[in-house]
Amino acid sequence: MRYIMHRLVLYIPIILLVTVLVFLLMRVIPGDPALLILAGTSGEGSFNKEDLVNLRRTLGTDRPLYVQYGTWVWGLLHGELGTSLFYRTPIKKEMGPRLPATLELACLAMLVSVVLAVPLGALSAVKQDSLLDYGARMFTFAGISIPIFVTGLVVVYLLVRLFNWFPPLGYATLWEEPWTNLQQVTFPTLTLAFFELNFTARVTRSAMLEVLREDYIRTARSKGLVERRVILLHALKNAALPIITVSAWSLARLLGGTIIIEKIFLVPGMGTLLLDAITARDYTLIQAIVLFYAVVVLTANLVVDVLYTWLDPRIRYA
Amino acid sequence: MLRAKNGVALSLPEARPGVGRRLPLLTALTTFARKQPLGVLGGIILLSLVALVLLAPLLSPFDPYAVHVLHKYAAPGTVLAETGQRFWLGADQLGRDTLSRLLYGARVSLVVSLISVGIGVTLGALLGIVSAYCGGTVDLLVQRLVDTVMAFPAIILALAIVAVAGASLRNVILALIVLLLPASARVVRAQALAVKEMDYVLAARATGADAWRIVLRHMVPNCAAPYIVFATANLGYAVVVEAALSFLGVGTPPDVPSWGGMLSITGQKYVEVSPWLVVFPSIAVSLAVFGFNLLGDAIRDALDPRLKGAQE
Repeated sequence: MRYIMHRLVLYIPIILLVTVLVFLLMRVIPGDPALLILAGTSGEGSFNKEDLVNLRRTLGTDRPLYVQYGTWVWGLLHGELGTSLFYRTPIKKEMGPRLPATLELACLAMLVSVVLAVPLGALSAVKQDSLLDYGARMFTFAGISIPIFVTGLVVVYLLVRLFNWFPPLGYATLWEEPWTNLQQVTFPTLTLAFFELNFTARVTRSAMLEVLREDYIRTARSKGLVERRVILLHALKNAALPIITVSAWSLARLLGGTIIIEKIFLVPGMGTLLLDAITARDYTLIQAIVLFYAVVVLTANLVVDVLYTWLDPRIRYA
Repeated sequence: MLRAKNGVALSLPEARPGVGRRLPLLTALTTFARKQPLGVLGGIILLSLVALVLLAPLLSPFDPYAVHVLHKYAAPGTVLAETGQRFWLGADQLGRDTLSRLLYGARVSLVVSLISVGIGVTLGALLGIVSAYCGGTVDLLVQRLVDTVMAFPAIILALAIVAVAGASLRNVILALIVLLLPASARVVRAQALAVKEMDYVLAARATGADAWRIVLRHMVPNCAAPYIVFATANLGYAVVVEAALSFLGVGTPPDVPSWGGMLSITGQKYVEVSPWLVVFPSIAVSLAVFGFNLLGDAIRDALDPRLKGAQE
């Protein structure tokens, strides 16, 4: 319990630091947002001094930085993400419809990659130095060297050229139109999962190799347990700990991957929204999306920490 | 054979003739090559890449920026009628030669990777050592800052930085430094914490060495192994991030030849684009990352004995 409290206490200042970092990044580097809006992206818009002062007042950028930061965080605490500079709509309205696609992609890809990678890594470790092990190691090593945009492009290109399949436009949620949804997410999910499973399989393999050398495995074998029982119940259960530890990083990597996959497969998710926001120089929107990703990753880390205490009593009582 | 001043031959303990005369670096390299053959393959890929980058102006059949309106999407092997030059690997949507752009694109990948890893990992390592040495509040603050930066998915933070700072080679390097610095600080700090408790640090302090001397002469050299491992492990990663940013259109400016940028056109037009425009840059970037990863893995196995058991 104390461990969980400790984690929770650490979580809050880091979220605050993240907001400071995002705020500074978006306010200090780009310069005056009001000037940017009036001048347009090409810098040709005409305006007078009065417009500039007025716009600064509406945007609130005429106030000192700490007041702006305070207002922003106060809004965040009340669930207000602010207004998009470009669309002039509440950011919540922009992000809301994009959220399900990205989360679905990331979660499904995580699921598929774990389902494929854990048996692969475990088999590779159990049959160490066999042909299967070498094959699996070569496959995963090559896999981590192929960037995700390469895999994605090759998959789409082959689908388009060979099967005349095009990435469907728009997005239907799983609960509204399950069939359309599956058609939309299958290939992006598989591509993402292929990317991630190499990392998971490698972690699984090295975790299993370590566990298989432990005394309790020898004990389990010497008391005459069937090998399958030893592997599944004794070894894999213990090897799960390091796999779960890295799963928060997996999620971070997958979320980064969704940006590229969404662009390639034309999925209207958070990633494409972020890319559009960057093109439109919509700083408030970029700020909100970047913060969103960081909060998701930090929360995943927290969940993993809590899960860990539940799975490993040594930490709970330490 | 060495001779003393009086002319008597000195018998040096030379068991195997020739071995002792080798340079220590060469000996280290041959040992590494014998134990890590895959690392050597990685090294060869990396060295060929360096050679290609240096020889790019000589090897490129075309100016990588030259547009040939009549040869848009030219097939590999097409001949340019006026000069008789060949588009060995075809041409892109503007009729620019793929081979020349690949060769010059290697320059972007390699330069970005080496500079960002060189600066980012080195600064991070120094920060990690200082953080470990100071301990207390300094360490706590530095570690929380590291946590903060590492909370962002890498590519998203890089995108945000390049988005606000503007798409340019310099800003891509800047973004990569921001990504690599905290991770490197974390990795090297772990080693520095152990080194700090070593007897030789205590001995140095007892002889009256000041903090600078302890950090620079005792801690830095003893933290070299994780530093080198982390640096080589991230060379390939830097290539991927640069290519991903250029692919997304926020990295290097579109006219500058870069592998990621070459692929970005295929991300927009699937039908018109000919297969080789997907294939060649894909192979180039994957092969480079593969080579870097092989080298990184081999160096980790050679320098970090703790990991060896788990990997082999």
